[in-house]
Amino acid sequence: MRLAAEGMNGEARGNSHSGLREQEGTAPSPAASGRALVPLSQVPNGRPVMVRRVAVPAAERACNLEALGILPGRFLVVERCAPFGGAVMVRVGDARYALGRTVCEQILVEALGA
Amino acid sequence: MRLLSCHLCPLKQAPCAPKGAQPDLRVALLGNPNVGKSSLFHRLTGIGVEVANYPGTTVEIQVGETRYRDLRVQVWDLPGCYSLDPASEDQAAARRALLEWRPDVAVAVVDATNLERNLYLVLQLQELGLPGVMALNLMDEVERRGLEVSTAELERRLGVPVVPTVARLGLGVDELMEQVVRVHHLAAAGEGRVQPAAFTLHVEQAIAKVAEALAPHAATLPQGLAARGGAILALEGDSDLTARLRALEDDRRPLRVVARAAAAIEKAHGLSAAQVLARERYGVAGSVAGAVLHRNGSSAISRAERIWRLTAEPATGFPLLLAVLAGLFGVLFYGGDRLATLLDAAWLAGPSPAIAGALQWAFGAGALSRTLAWGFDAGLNAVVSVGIPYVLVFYFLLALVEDSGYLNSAAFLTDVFLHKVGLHGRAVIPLVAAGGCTVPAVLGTRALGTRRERLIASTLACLVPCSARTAVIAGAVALFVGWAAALGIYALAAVLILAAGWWLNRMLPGTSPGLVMELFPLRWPSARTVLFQTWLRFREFLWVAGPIVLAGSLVLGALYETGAVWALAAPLRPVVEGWLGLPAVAGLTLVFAVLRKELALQLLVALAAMQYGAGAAGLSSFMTGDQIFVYALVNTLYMPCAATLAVLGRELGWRAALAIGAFNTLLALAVGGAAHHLLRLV
Repeated sequence: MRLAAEGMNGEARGNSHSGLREQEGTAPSPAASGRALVPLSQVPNGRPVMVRRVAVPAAERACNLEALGILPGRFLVVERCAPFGGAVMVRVGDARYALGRTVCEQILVEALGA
Repeated sequence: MRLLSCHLCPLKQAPCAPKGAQPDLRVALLGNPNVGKSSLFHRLTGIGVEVANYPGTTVEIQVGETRYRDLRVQVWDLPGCYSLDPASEDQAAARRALLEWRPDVAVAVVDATNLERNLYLVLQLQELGLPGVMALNLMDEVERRGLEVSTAELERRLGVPVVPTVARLGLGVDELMEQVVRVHHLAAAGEGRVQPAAFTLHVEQAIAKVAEALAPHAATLPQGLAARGGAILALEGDSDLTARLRALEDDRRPLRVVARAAAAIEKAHGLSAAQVLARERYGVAGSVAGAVLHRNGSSAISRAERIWRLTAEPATGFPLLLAVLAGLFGVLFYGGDRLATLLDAAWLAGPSPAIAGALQWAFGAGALSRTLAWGFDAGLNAVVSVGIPYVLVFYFLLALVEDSGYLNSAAFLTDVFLHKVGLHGRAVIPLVAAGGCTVPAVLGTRALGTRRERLIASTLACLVPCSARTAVIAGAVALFVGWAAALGIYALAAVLILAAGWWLNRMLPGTSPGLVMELFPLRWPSARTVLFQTWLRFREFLWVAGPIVLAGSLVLGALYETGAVWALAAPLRPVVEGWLGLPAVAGLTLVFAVLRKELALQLLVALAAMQYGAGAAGLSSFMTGDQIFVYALVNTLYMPCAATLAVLGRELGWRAALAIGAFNTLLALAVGGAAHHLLRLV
């Protein structure tokens, strides 16, 4: 887990420029980064990712993901998944969240690192 | 419980002072969940806390009073929230309390170990332009983790006084009050205006445009909100404010300007305006946190963190969860039952003869005094024997699992199972607690985010056989029919609970939101907070359930003592005899068991003796095994008891309480009747 966190920080620094460019420039698109977007629910444990699109309808959220820092352009690490297709535990900054599968399917991320 | 009169106050009034007098200073505590806000609240105030409901919601705002120097200070504990967007009921209530009740000073309680996310809320608070003080809490944890926070730098960057606190131990509380009073005096003198952090130029330009369009409509904005704050809310698509702008029939300009500005932001960033604003706030929060937070060396993984991992790792977490649930169930079921028996005995030894004696002295030995004894003796006894062993004990346990952070680990593991019935992981505790007593289970559904989930969870909790219904199953079915039949009732109940959950999830409008929940490292709960919270809940239960159980007992007592009860037998006959195949007298006892479910059996024997004479000494003398099975099954599933109905009414409203009662009764009749007819065929 510690390795993963270090990986995240390294990636965060390495990728912050491309993130910034998109922030100032045009819409983020899969083509711009050259990496495929996958739903958060398909990311393996320990993998740092960058959030690219949050498409959870407001009515289906227990609270707004923006306020938790789950926002396009920010980094998170998938720490572990509950068995039987259960919730996904992610680390964002200093906080950890459990996200239900349906929520994760609607968060598109770009996997970072190997 | 004595609810504050603001329960009924018009929307724009501040909570009324508990004893009628206006306080000199009104302070709101705002913060993320689990940052020690309630600990701080209980440190600031004392035991004389009132619970107010934000008008039109079940969201609680606790209101306490304290004296600081010569000032009467009223403190509001707003619900924990991550942001001030009205995304959830809690957040909406917190925001409206800030905007419409307008506290004199807002105290942002901040978790110093997770500054970035906590500062997000502080930045939003500053946008609203309220005079504020920051309580930098959990400073002991900061030290333990080898972190250091520069409060001076934090003050400089945010422009608000920052007071380091350890609320759990009461450290820094006096200094916090000192700063609150100082800020209040400064604000009253028109000084110390808050300067909210700036967004990027492009976004600020959009905000300025909207603010300018809103400026002529200051009265439309929530009370006292500056045009800039209003502009930010409008750009975020705030439903409250948008509705207010829509109501401006004669001027469509503000709406147009908002739409245009939001579209411009969206076009430039490829994200919604709300997301852009959130991202920029996070940018500011991150840079402030980075500048004030210093990590001294490598932070070792703490013991709490190691234990926490065991709770969330499936291999260890599931066995642990089973153990905790078994413990919870065991304490409520066996411990609660034993305590209830002891209390019953104590009641019979002391208060009961005293009450009976007093009633006899006042009203003679007739039906009137016996009827009153139903209410003031048996009724009050029922309240006490549910209240102390179950409600009090459950709340204590719930506060422990919730405040320690364990509930969230359990919810993470169980979410997938409960999702199927439209609930999420946090519902596991109330559903298991229902095996002990339905009342605390219904009260415990507050931990669920939406009304829809609370409705489903409460309905299912009412179907779980509680210890009182188990007493009937054990005392009648297991004793006279056999263990297999008794277990059959539980199995049937389990199947019905799953089916009802699945059906309700499909039938009720809307969808239950997916799980989005913070996971906390395990923390020792503050004994003071746990005890205070337990006491508040218990007091609330007594005030809510007491009058209803008392009134119900008096009505039933009058029916019984006047002999009017036998008149009920005729209308019940087609259902009880015809459909369920039970003796009419059994139907009467089911009506009376609404008071206390375990009463059904005692009453059945007593009434049967009245009807059939001395020959009906035992259950088996006038009912067959099949009848006893159907009787216990119907008793398990039908109408929840009076105390449960009272808390259902309080939590979900009377319409929902009656709907749940009707649903359960129909289900009980359908299943009971089907069981009777099937058993006849076999």
